[in-house]
Amino acid sequence: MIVDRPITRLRRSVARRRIAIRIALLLPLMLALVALFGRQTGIAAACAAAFGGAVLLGLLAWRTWRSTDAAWLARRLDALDPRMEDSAALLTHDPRRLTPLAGLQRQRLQRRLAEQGVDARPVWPRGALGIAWGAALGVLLAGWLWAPAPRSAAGSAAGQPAETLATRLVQARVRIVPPAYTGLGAREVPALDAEVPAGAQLTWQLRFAPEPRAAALVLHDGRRVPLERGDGAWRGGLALAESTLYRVELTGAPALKGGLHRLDVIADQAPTVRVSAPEHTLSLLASGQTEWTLDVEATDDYGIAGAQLAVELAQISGDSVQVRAQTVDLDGTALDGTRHVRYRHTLDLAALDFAEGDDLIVRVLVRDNREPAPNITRSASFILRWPAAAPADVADLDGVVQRTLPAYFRSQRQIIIDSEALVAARTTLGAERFLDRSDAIGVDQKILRLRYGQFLGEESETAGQRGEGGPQDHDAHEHGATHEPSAPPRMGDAGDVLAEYGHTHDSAEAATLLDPQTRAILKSALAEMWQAELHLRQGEPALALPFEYRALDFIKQVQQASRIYLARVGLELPVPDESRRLSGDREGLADVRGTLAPATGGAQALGQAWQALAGVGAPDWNALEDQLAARQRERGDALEAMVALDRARADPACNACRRELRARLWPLLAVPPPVTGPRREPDALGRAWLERLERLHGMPEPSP
Amino acid sequence: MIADATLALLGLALLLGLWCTRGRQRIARAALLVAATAALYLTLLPPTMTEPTVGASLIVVTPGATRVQRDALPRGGDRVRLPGAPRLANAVPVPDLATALRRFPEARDLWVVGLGLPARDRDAARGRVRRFEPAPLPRGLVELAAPQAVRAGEAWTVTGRVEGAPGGRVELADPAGAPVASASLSADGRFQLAALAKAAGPALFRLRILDPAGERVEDVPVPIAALPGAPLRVLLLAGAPDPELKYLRRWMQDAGLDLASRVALSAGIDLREGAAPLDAAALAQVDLAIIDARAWSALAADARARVEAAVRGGMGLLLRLRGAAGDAAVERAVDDWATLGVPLQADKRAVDDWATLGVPLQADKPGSPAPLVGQPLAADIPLTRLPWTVHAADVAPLLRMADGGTAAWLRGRGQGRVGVWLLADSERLQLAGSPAAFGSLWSGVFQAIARPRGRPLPELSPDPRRDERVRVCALAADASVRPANGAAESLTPDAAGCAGWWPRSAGWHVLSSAGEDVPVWVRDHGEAAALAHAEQQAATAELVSGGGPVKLAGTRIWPWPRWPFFLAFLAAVGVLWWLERGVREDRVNT
Repeated sequence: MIVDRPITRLRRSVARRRIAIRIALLLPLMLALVALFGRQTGIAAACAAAFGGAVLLGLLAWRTWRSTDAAWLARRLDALDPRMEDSAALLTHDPRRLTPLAGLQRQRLQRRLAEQGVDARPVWPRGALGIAWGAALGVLLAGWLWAPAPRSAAGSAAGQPAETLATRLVQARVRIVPPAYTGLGAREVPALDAEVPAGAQLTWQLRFAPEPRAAALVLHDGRRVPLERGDGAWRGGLALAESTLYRVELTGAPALKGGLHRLDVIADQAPTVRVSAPEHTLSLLASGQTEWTLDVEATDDYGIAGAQLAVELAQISGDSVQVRAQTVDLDGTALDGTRHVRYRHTLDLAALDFAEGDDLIVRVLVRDNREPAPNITRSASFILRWPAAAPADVADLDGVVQRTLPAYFRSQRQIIIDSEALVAARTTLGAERFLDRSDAIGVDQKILRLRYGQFLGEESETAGQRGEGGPQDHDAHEHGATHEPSAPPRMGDAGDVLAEYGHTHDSAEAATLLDPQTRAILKSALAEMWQAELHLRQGEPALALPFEYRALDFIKQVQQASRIYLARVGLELPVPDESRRLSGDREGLADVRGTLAPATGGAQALGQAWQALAGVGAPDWNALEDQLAARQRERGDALEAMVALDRARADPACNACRRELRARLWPLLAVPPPVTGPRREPDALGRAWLERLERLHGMPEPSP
Repeated sequence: MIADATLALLGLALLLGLWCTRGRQRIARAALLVAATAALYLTLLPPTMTEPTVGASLIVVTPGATRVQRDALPRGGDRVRLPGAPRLANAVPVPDLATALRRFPEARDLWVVGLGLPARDRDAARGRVRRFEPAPLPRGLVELAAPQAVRAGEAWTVTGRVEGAPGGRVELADPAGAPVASASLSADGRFQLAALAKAAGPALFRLRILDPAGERVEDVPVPIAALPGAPLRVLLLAGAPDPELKYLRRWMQDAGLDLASRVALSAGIDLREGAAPLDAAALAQVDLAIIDARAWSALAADARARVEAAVRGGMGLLLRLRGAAGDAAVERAVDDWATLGVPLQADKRAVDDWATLGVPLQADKPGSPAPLVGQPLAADIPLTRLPWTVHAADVAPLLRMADGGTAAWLRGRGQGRVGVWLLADSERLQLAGSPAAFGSLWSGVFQAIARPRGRPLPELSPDPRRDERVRVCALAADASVRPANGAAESLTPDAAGCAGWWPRSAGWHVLSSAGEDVPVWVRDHGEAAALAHAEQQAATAELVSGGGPVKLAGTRIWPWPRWPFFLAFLAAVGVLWWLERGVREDRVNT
């Protein structure tokens, strides 16, 4: 087929126009769909969709190009221009194969075309184009408004597209330098959470993108550790004494992803002491025994600094007791470096002047290498007794006299003597040593007070110690070991069933009662002891002395009181008014009203949050946070719940986070008193049955 | 219907074909057309043949049938296998039992082998299962009984049975994953564990089953819905203070009850909480009145009548007996209570026993203490029961003791209920350090006696499972169910208040009915699989009926195979095509 050049040009221009029109009609809709798709699924998918659309458009263009062939053009020309005389097809035929008449007509047509060009291109369909673009815009708008926000952009609910606007943590390094005494090397962790030995120095090195203006670490208790900028990284440090949570706070940059980070402190444990010889706390002197061998093993998590043997010889003759105390440093053999040390020591009884009727009391004190103050563990007291010859007149009391270990505590008189000696020795002692000794006397005073307090039904020793757990708490020496402050702050909580499961509204049930006068005197004595202890603990034995004297005075009075009543039931009945008794005088008597006090409200927010988290609504986050913070301050077991809270709060759509928070809240929930409810209504059938019964047996039945 | 339509369509097509048949061999082509149409019709709807049958059972092989069971099956007889069942020679695979019954309409009864019929097949099988050979249950938890809902703070018990772990242990872990109770399995694999529902709301406990070596056998969630309490209005009248009252009042205060109490201390002097008037209007508001014998005796006759009328109107009345049989006030109250339908008598047995021992007859010596039955936390705390008993036909025991005695009785009276409390020292539960046991005991008693104000809890078919039909009953008209993260779906209860529900997701759902929300746990497909199998087996075993009531004809209707008709159709159409082709060429050429 030979086709003229003008015809070819014409065909091409027409084909181009057709393609342009079709693309212009389809493109807006396609763009709108790609945009919506991209919003739903992300930029990569949008690119893929756009590529697919481009391929489709290409195919369409190719097809249009192909379909716009000579025959089509001929038809078009015929339809368009009457001058073509319905014979435009001749233009596309080879002139040599045409009949002469047809060839003539062809030449006419060619001439007309050449004279007066024909624009065979279709006109732009303005209306259709307008509708297409309008429809695309409508689709875009409708899709934007109706389509749900995609999951990945959950953070954008608050108005910030999270993906692109969060600061990234390019590098996170925490350098942990444990205290030198632990013997542990410094290490670096590439994460923001870590387990560190107590007292370790932590140094953060963080890099962010984009760079913030300022950065700080915010601890959950409100402390801030500002980070310093230096050669591209942000640095800051902190010495850590107890487990904590923190977050990285940035100024001048979007917030970091990820919530609270956790630093767990591994506390330095006190040494453990195991005494393998002697086997019993009380041994009786064997015949012919001249020495007493002690065999002690001590272990510690970091290392043992040393051990001492406290030897006290109580020489008893009749009523008088003389005590001589001395301290011996022990030499140990290391079994596993300094972590496991064995101490053997042999006491030469003759050298100690041990005689018949004497008690030899030893204790082992092991201290570890913790700094600044070592943990000290005391073993139990081991007593070697040389029994005095039994007096003949108590031979019949064998079954009655029991060999029990006496309770060792100082008398009030002894405390006064100690205090006076300490005041006198003030100039020779260093300030710290003076304070230590004064404090030790204070502890003795406390023990004595508790001992007397028992007679008044006061709370027992553990309750008396609450809130005294300072790091330098020598008080704890009396109970075997000093503990790390970050160790569980209240030993014995786990077994404190009463506190966990019930209310103790009154505890005087089993108290020992004295007669009211003696009671009053004893109360005064205790008050004086309180004051004396106060001053002793503050390192002012001179100020404490007057109180000590008065306490002694009161105690003497109590001892002289005629009787002590031991009541079996803790019921303190009011003294009857003898003048009115049996007189029938009821004046002034009235009903007793409202004796039931409501129980003190427990952690309400926890229970409410537990319930709210099961549903779809949001719990009262602030109340819950306050409650958890309070709990962490009091008991130190709410860190995990705080982390879970932070996560659940940051992402309200995260069901797993809510479940996690619920699981963490469960152990913190108090056990409430069981509640009750009304009886369930019977159903219609049951009600009808009851009514029928009632009609049948309307009258009360006779008793059998 | 379909057959008629097919016939009509084919007839029409045939007529059209015949109308258009022209040209050569017209007769032959018309005949072929008729033959092809007939063959097509027979292919689509083959004729049936009737043959006599032996009337044997249809053997249904269900999933889990063991090889031993399959080998033991008789050679003859028809057999089908349900989806998931192991392969078996000559067994026809069927999608469900209803299809099998259509295929074998002569099957008089069914012989089921394996783990049993799934829920969808049970209706079809009802009344037909003659024999069921259960497969051995898979290893794991096969029975589980836990309350659907408890009140917050109450103690609850979970019991069950474990298959295939003799000598093993079970542990109950709380929602935080910490074990709260554990027990060894008994010889037959049973166990019982108790725990506390700490706070209102759903809580997911887990039952860990361990074999003797400590290896985990199964981990089954145990859902517990703890419901919040309602402030009951309680009226307490007592003739004298006593230790039980002390802790009871304390508990009522702590549990948030609206307590009005009057405990007599002396003539005209009372220990009071709130106002406790006894007029009819006030009593109509009271949910539960607790009155002891002395306070009862001290009531005026008209006050007693008002109390009784209030009971008939729905109020609960708990009569506490404290005091000896010889006490005049107690005797008088006991006489009076007989008119309330709870005639009390001193325990004659004890009296007779003591008479033979030569002890003077004093009916006020209590029997030996024994623990209560059904109180999980109080199982080892012996309590004392007063030696009274109720002699009437229609009283029900409310609280039993391990020695067989009854510590509390209950009977209906009008719309209300009257209870008699014979426990002398329930406060010992509290004093033994178990306030939860004390509260749970009283909470249960209150919920049994108090005025019926609460809507009945929706009753669900046991162990709801995802994608399986759950039947929910006792629903209000506005009932709906909402998954943890999803839209609420309304249920449409029928006249009896029951509705069907197909849970589409697993996990916690909230079932709301008449303003009360009850959390419901829906198990996922693989969760507690052994339990699902055991339930399926139990449900199938329930279907087994001894007699065969369905007596069908001793013949068997059997469709002809379709393929010969189809071949005939193909042949006819082929020849027809050949002939028509010739005719066409003729036409073109002319």
